[in-house]
Amino acid sequence: MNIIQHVANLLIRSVFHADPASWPWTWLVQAVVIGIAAFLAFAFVAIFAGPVSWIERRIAGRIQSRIGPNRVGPQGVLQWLADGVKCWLKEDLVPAAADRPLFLAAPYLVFTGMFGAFVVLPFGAQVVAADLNVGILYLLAITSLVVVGLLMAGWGSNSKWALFGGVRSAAQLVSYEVPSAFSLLCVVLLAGTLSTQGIVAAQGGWPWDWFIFRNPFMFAAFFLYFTAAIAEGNRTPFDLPEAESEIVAGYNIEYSGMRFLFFLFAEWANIWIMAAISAFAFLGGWQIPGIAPEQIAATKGWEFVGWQALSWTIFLVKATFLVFVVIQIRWTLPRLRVDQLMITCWKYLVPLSMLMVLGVLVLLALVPEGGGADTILRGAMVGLGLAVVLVSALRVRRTFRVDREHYREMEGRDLWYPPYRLP
Amino acid sequence: MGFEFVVVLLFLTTSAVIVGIALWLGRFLRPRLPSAEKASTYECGERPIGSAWFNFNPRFYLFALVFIVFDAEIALTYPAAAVARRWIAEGRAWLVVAEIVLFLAILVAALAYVWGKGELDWNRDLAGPEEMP
Amino acid sequence: MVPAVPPPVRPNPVRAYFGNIRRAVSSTFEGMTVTMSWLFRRPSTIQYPDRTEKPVREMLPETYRGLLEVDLSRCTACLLCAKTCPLGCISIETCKHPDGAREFQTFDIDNGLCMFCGLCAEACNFDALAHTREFEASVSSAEQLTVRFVDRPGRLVAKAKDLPPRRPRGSILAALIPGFGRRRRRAAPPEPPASPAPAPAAGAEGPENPEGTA
Repeated sequence: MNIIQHVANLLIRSVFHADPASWPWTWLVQAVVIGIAAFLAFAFVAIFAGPVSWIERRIAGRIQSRIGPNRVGPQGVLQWLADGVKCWLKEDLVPAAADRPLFLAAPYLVFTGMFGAFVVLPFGAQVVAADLNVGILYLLAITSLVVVGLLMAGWGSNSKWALFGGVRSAAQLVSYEVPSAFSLLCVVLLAGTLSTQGIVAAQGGWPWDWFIFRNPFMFAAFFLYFTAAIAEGNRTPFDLPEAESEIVAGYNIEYSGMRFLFFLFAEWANIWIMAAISAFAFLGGWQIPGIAPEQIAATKGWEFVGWQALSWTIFLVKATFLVFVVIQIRWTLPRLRVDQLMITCWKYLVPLSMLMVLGVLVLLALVPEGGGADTILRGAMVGLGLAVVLVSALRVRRTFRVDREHYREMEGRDLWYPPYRLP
Repeated sequence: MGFEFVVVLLFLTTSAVIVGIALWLGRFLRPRLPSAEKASTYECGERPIGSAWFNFNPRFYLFALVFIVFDAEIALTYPAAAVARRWIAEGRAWLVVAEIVLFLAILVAALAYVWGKGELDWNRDLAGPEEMP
Repeated sequence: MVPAVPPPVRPNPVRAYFGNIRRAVSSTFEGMTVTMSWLFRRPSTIQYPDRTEKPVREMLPETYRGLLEVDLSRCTACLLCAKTCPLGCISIETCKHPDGAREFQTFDIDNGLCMFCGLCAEACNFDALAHTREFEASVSSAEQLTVRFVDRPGRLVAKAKDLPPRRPRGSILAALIPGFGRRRRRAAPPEPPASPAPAPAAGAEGPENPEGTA
């Protein structure tokens, strides 16, 4: 049964002392519980999107060898709150030349399209707002609502910059929808279901049970999906719709105050959503190593709550790690040109992701699950993953060491300054 | 299942209501000092010449068309992919493989056609060489 | 003779295609490792203005063209500066006493208009008008950008024959607008022992006041 129905039934039994099956107001209590759940999700988005914007700016500072915002609150942790309050107090301008209804409605669509994805994100063992049986299709469909909102904002502003930003972002979002849909098709092939909880249940807690390490094609599909997701989130290196050096700010140029904030809000939350989708579709989601989901469901009381909290934590850690990777990519790669953007999608990502679908399908038909070949494949992929992590760590260390010598000669100080020591 | 979709509907409604409430509450906090200068379209300080509602690059339209073909095909492939595992376990592997390969083959043909026509190249002369002065 | 242009080398498209993929993966990987290593490096910037060893204006050269100031005790109201100024940001008014002495009515410099070209300071024959090294000129309203140098009525115009020595540059501006552009300075956090000790918080040098006394 759905967790929302559970909570509603619990409420009806304990507060109203009625039988949920025959009580006439059950639907009302359920609606209220859904509303509260939606508000909790909103609070989560707000609490997440705000500090992440601060973290990104601090990381950007460190990567660019500067300090970053550290004035508002201790070390600037309240910077996001100050920005939000400032935007709230700003005048809400509508250009005289704009198409007023379209202009005013666009933030609603963008925000709703982003927020709708939260319905099917599996946060914990039993915690998902609605475990739709068409979950992945729903995710692909609801995030397309953002495209409509961006086009409305771009066209409705009646500004040349906004128009270019709007059509660029529409072309980009629809194009990258294709490789991301193909990559998720690989996941659906392996899981045998479209439900998001079903996809997590088809994986396991240990890395060799994750879909990413199932076979080489899945390994590639993860990176293809991640690339496409970055593009769908309008993030650098695919941030052409808001390329400030070419088209000033793109589709949101005429927006001010709170309406502008909702665009940014949706963008920050989108990073989280795509990281979460990657985490549950490829990296095992909330699965706890060594504990089967059925064992969690069988526990009672505080033990159940404890396992739930652990599964939440695991999911959040995986998603947050991917958010960090997205942030780091932003400060690593330069922006693509619009022709490179289209070529990257249609000539590289689309054919490659088709190839991955074919490969996963053939391996699924040929290699029986749990057999010797399957075990060898999984072991090899986990080894490959470990090797990638190890090699990159060594490369980081080598890059650092080379410059450390130079720095000591020139400055007479040590270069080492770990990220936790905030300047 | 109906209940789940009610949840979706209520979630979407709630998110729109949250946006509405935030904008409405802001009305009591923010100043409202309209002026002709503020209401003008921003073009980096230049006075805008004409409206922005003009014909833009038709290549965007081409990509939108290609996308629709691909997305419809993908949406049709998803059901086949969802049952693939069960059918393979039931010994009907050839059927599901043939089905998905057929879908993919159609898309590969489409992609090859568009690629070969040069529609995927952004920097190209849409007017064609014979119409150039 | 024109050397023959070699025919352009057309790479094998298939090899170019897979070469592109390989380069994209390897360069992204390389870039990510480089940026990751920068997370562990000492930032090369210093927090302004808290952690600088002394106020930034004291590190500037003497010839720095900061905010203008005028020493009225040396000013003969010759109006050369006001006439030289291409923007007209200096406005001087005087009135004549019955006994022949002249008294300043206004001596205003509009810093919002000034472009710090230095022509007025060049024109001044008595070193009355000069640039200071003060540059932190942000104020909360546009009116405050105009600095009014006539601080009290009855300021007489100086005679070129007996001029008092020039008061130290910046002292007039500092006395006129206390707290103008002076940010609060905070002590740096303890550094690791390997590096030299940071300068102590220098909050009280010269006529400087803490923030907010304007």
